Amino acid sequence: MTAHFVVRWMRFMWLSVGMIFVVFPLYWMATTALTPRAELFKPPYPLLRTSYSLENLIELLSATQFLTFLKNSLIVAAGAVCINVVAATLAGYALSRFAFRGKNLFAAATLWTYMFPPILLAIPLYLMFSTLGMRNSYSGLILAHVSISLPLNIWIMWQYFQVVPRSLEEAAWTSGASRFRALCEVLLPSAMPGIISAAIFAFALSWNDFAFAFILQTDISMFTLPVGLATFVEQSAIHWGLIMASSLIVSLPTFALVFLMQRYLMRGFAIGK
Amino acid sequence: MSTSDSPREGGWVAAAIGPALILLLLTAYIPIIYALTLAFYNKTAFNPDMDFVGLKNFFWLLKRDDLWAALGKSIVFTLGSVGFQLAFGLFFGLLLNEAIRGRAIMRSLVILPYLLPTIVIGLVFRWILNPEFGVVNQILLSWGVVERPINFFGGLDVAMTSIIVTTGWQYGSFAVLLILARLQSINPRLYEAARSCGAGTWRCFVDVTLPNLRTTLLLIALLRGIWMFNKFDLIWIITKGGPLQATETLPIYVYKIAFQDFNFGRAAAGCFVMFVILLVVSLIYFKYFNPTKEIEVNR
Amino acid sequence: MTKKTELPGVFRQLKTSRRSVLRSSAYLGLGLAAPSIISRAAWAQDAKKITFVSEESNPKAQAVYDKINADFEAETGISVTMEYPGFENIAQRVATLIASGTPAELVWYGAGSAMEVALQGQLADVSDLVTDLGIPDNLRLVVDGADRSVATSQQFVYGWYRSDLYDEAGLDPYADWDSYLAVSEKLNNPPAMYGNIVPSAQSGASHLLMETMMQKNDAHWFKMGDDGEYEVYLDQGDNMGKVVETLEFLNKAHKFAPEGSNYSWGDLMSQYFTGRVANSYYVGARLLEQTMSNAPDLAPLTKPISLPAKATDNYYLSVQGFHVGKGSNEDGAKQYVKFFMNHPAYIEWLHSVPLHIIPAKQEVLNSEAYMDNDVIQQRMDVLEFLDSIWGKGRAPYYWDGDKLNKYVGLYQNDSLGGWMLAAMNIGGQDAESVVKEAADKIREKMSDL
Repeated sequence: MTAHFVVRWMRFMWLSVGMIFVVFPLYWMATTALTPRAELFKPPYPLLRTSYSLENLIELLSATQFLTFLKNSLIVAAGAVCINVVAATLAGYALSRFAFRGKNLFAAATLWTYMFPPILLAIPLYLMFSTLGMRNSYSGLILAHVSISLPLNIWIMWQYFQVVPRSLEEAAWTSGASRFRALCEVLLPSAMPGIISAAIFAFALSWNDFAFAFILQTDISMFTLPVGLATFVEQSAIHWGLIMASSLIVSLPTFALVFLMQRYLMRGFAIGK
Repeated sequence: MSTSDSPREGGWVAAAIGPALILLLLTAYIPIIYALTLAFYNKTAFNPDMDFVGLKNFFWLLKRDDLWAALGKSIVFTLGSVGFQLAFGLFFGLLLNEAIRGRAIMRSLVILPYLLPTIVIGLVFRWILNPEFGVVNQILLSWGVVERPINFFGGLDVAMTSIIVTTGWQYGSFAVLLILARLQSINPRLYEAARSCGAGTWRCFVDVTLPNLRTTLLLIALLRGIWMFNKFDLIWIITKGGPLQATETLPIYVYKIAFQDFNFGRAAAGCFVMFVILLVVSLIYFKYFNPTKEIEVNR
Repeated sequence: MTKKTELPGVFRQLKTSRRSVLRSSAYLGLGLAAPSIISRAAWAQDAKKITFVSEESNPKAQAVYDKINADFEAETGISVTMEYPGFENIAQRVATLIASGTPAELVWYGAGSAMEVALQGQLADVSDLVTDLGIPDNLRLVVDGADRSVATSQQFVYGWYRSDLYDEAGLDPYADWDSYLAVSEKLNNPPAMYGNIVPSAQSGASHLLMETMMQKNDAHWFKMGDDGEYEVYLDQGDNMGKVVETLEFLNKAHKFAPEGSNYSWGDLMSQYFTGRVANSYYVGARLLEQTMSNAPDLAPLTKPISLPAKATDNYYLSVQGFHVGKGSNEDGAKQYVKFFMNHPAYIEWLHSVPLHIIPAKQEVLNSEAYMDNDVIQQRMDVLEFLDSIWGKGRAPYYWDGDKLNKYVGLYQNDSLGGWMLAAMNIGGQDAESVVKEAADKIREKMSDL
């Protein structure tokens, strides 16, 4: 009994320390966002702030194009998620259910793309997308973002389909369902956690991306959040208040998303069995 | 696995693989091949024309002391960062796998950094760890831990560590996610069986948890290793490779060749070298850590 | 249900077979052909469109651009698309555009950066505009016998100091190197207050301090050889002594400064307006503007001053201007430049950061229209200071001789002066070896051209 108690206490202590490490930067980001302008550069700062101000948030929403950046980011991320889910599910299905020539090469080649440092992709991508007239468009950036998330997503779906028993599908076939119907009605529902994980991963990479968006979106009205945020870092001054305010606004819905989806995430990302 | 290669299945395969293949070809393979071939050309940033120069760019590059210094920095950074992320992932994965009150909220908080834009994280850490306006230094000073503020991202001896901790904070969450997901899918009967043989918490961990996590950990190490080796944005946002060259990893060095010396051909050669290093290391990694052998024993 | 993971299987496949080698080489061949195909993709220039890449990040200045652009389109039917990649990324953007064979019509940024582009033959001849607009000679950038830059504005590197602290301590403003060190030491009281600021990082802020102080000491990077070509002079003869002396001076000053191992321009200002340093410097008056908006009580006490002179009283001169991409819609771009410079809102554009971006011509500086601004009215002392040093500035590419020195990019692009300060002040290397190493770095790059 006491041993059990000690273990629980230890666990609690460790977790507290760990959580402070994780949460403190987030906490300080939120605190800074709510700090009045005049106090921003006046340390020492109170660790528990009592005088809050919405100055930064108000300026962010009124004087900058933050909402445009946010909208662009959401549209692009949504597009990347949709394309990823469809393409990765299909590819994962094919990899797990069929044997075909070049299968292993295809699977390996998806991961190879991660080995090339993306620094120099600016020139070819710029050229290609200019030629195709896809600069400063949502579709161009969506495609670019798909290129970074699709490889791992194909893997996630491949792994996930492997743990969905074939018997489920076969049972559907014997009861007369076509392959396509069996895929849609039997396989997809049971692969849902994998699909949601793939979606989240696609969202995370699209949401995070600076490099591609910087190259392809040159018109400020098409900037995504990361590129837009970079405009708050000027040669003369880093607008810490604006940066922290936008970080805060971005974090809240992201947190809600993770919170609501985590049940699926915990199953879907179980790759590497 | 079905092996029949009937025409009907061929159609299925084409339809299922097609979209992914076309997307990857267009947005990944063609640009990558283009960028790799630049390595064999003399191409400056301010000229649309280029001449074929064979391996000249590689000869130039491989003679650079800076290249090898950067490779050393890259190795330290990649190993440090991946190690930190794995430790972070195991720490939280194991603790948050237990039934504790507030687990859902804590899990979400731990995973959250992965979904925040890198630029946000880079700037938040610059702000928090700033020697003059940073709250961390303020706390350390008020507790008397240090006498003068620590210049976390500007000190020759601490900059790399600070960068590693920052990447660990952001990307450790990826490891937490995969590890938690894997832990959830371990059959609880395995633990019951171990317990009934008298195994304690530690033995359960060593005999059941670790072997089941092995492949996941190896996969995390591989993927994160590749990504960290190529990591550019976070380091550039925070230190730009400084102070002096303390955090100048290969991607930073290559970027400087491209956009400070304006030589795309040589930068492409640098990318080529990085690509080859990753490919070779991945092959060796799988030769020595092939996880297939043991996984069947543990099941 | 398969128990084996497929991941390693895939990698086992990577062990190359002869067939896959053949296949890969086929792909490689295809790839080798690709660049030449793509780069020849013709770029249709539209006479009714201009792409204008500007370093500007200030919303006020951007608003002025919008106004002028609208008027320009109304008059000529040419539409202007603005791009603001930011000062950190503009070189990358310009490079990407040119390397892709799609140069921007107009780029507004530093003439020093533009020189790199001009040397590659990628900037159009704008001599006619320079003559028409009467741009002063010291702001011109002549490459291959033609002007490549239309200067809109300029900045000097000079100091700013806290007059209240000087008054309290009964000190006179510094005038030479010794008095600079003396006041810095006297006012130094770390960590609450530092005597001065010596950023020691591979950053532009750090580099320009080193380069400015070298100029004040008549120390040079290059020297014109007998054959009329520039050669590295940094570590040669007496000149090396002067460079070493400059470095050692800044090393002494660094003892009364925060570590600054990662400081860039923004830090020079935030350190100053938060009241942590008694002396700072900047390229222009943005420091004053930032102090006005962040610490209004400090602003009136903030006074301009020349950085301490020694052998010369030269000022590092930074010139910004319009640059027209060769092979772009050159005519449209030139029309725009003329329109911009003659537009009444040009003054408003200069006022976006008052006294910071100062006009190319002295008569504009002294014009009523320019002085008609609240900030300038309050700070006529700054205007008078600028007027007093007018013409004493020299751009870095004309510092080592009257002929344009095309090699300045070799030490400026990677902020070599900043590296020198970092190597000595942070890395603890001695001055002589730092100077030798720096000279070797330049020589190596030169031999490589």
